Amino acid sequence: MELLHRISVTCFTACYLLVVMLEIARIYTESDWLSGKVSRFLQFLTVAAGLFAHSAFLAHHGGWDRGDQTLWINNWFGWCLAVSWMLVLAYLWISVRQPRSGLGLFLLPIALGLIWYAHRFGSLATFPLNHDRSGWNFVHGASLLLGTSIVTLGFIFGVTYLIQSYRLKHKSVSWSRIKFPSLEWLQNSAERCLLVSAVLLGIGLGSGVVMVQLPVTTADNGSQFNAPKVWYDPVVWTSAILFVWLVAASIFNLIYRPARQGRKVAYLVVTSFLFLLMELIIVWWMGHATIIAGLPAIDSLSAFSIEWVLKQGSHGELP
Amino acid sequence: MTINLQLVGCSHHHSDLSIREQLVFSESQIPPFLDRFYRAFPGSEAVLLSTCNRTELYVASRRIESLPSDSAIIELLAHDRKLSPRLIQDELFCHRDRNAIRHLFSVTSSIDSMVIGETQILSQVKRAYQLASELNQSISLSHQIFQTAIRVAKRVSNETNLHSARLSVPSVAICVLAKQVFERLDNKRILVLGAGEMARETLRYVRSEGGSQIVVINRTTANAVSLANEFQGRVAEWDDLASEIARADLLICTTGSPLPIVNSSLFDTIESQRKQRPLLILDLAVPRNVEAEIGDRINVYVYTLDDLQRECERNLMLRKSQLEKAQVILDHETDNFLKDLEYRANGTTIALLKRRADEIKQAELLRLRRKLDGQLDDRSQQEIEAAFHRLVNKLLDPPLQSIREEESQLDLVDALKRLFQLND
Repeated sequence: MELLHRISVTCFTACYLLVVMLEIARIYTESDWLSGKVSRFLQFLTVAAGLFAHSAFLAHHGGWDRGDQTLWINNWFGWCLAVSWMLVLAYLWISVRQPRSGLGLFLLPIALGLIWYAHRFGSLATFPLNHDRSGWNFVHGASLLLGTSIVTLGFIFGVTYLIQSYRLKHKSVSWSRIKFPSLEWLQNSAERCLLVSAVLLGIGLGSGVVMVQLPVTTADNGSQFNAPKVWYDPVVWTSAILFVWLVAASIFNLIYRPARQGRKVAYLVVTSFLFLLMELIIVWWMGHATIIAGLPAIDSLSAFSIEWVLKQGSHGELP
Repeated sequence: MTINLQLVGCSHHHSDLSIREQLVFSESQIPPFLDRFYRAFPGSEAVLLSTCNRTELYVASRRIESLPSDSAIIELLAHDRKLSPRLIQDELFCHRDRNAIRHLFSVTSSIDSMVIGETQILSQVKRAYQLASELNQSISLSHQIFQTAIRVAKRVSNETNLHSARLSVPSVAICVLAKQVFERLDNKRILVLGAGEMARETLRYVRSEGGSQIVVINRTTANAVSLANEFQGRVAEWDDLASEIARADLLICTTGSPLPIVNSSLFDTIESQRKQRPLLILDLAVPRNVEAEIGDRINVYVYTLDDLQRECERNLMLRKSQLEKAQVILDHETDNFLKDLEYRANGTTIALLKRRADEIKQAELLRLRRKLDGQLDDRSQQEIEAAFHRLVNKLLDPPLQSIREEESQLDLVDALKRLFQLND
């Protein structure tokens, strides 16, 4: 346990950085060793070691070893680290399924970007769990977390599809040192990401709505009050727009046959990611689900409502 | 060296096809030839390797006197092929010992092949060795040489990229290009236009990659039927061309048509049916069977013979760049093989030396025990034995080490024999 305590963000970031450098070196050098099985196996081991350190860090700092279970869905820092953890996990899976593909060139920089973001802005927001709603909080946070990871994965598959399609059209596939999976694989993966992310973000939004209907318990004296409804919260309606878009894109994809073919799926997943990005910027900018100084510890979705109520000069139903 | 190896043969490097085809042996002709060889030259072993690019006879013997001369082998070959020895002797090359071993390693590793890195030669060498051992089961020398050659070929294959890059247009088209578009071929519809040799060669790769839904269209239906039967496909009528293209995922065009068969007007009629499903078109015909404009359509990828040829040339360059690395491996392996042979040959002398030293040690120990009878306890006796043992080992270790490390062990072993008066 003492060893786990010593694991820092630097440990796993260094592992991921090393692998990104290996991937880049593979493009610019003609080294047989770099393109050989040994170097790929070492690369796999490095990512696996990084992921282990990453998992240990999340578990320890998230308080899982103390039965706390809060950090990774109730804190921007942990949330970003958890999304990056999932992307690296996906990279490992892809390394097994498509051993020579250069998808790591897209996946790992995004994971590293998230780690950097977590490290840089992680202290901005902490939102302790309201225990009355812990089940819903978990569903809300976990589904949004998974949904975000899968939309990001879909974006990577979509972008890779477009690059691969461009290279095939311009007959430059075999000249390039970067190998990508086949168009068929990329298309199928992007399609699955679109469907699964729509379901997960739907669950995330639905659980958020349920949470709003439940009374809020204050942390200090345990008294309850009804949180104001938050339909005017930009975070809520942009989430709803994102969800509606994903559902519409999935239905469009299922009904309109040409939409299932390659590039259109790629465009759909890329657009979904842009929606998600917009949504995340709004969430971050609005300080959605962050604790507000002077107020009792409340759940994530209620925070905006309280802030809004305070801004309106009304105490509403607050105790 | 206890193996004397001789090689007489011809290959695409030195001889024209007109000579090679006269010297080629079919598989059924090899055993009778080897039989004649053994009758003519008892006391030696022979392996005959015969492919379309080379005919090489490897002869090995422990005693140099048993080895036939080059001219005797040439005469036997000429006689067997009903040729004049004078006609072929300038076309054949002869190698001995190190050069012959190095050549065999190079042939087995496919470095000496017409298409460098092709994998067929390894199985041909294995088959040649198998035929020789079926006829004569006591070819222990050839066994050592050929087993090492096969191992060296595997090492070259593992440690270089000599075999990884594909060189033929059909193999690049199916095994490289089609795999960039499709994850698997077993659930794809493959339409072949034309039923010639290029179609046949391409379909071999399609089948090897799992492609099974094959449709053949050809103006001469009989040829289409023959090709379709060969690859478990079906035949479609020429009139159904448009509807078959509408259903196809992979279109292989190999007809000799002077005008494009798949043109814009034909494609316009089926585009709506295709629903933008990806279509890979391999236009392997000259003149082209597919109008260039088709390649601009959504999700349609058209590759011509020129596009694929460029890839083949690039792969050939890649293979050549690996040659130097492969040559280093061959040199190293040849040296090691020869050294190993010498060491094994000298093993008797070394064993004799060790035995002599051991005899002296035991005799001296016995003498000492008798002299000090009763004065030594068990522990002291053991200490003395261990000291004698160490002394002998320390004395013998430097000369044996020198023999192991010496390039030419023969001189040292000879000196050792004379110095210690070792006689076999």
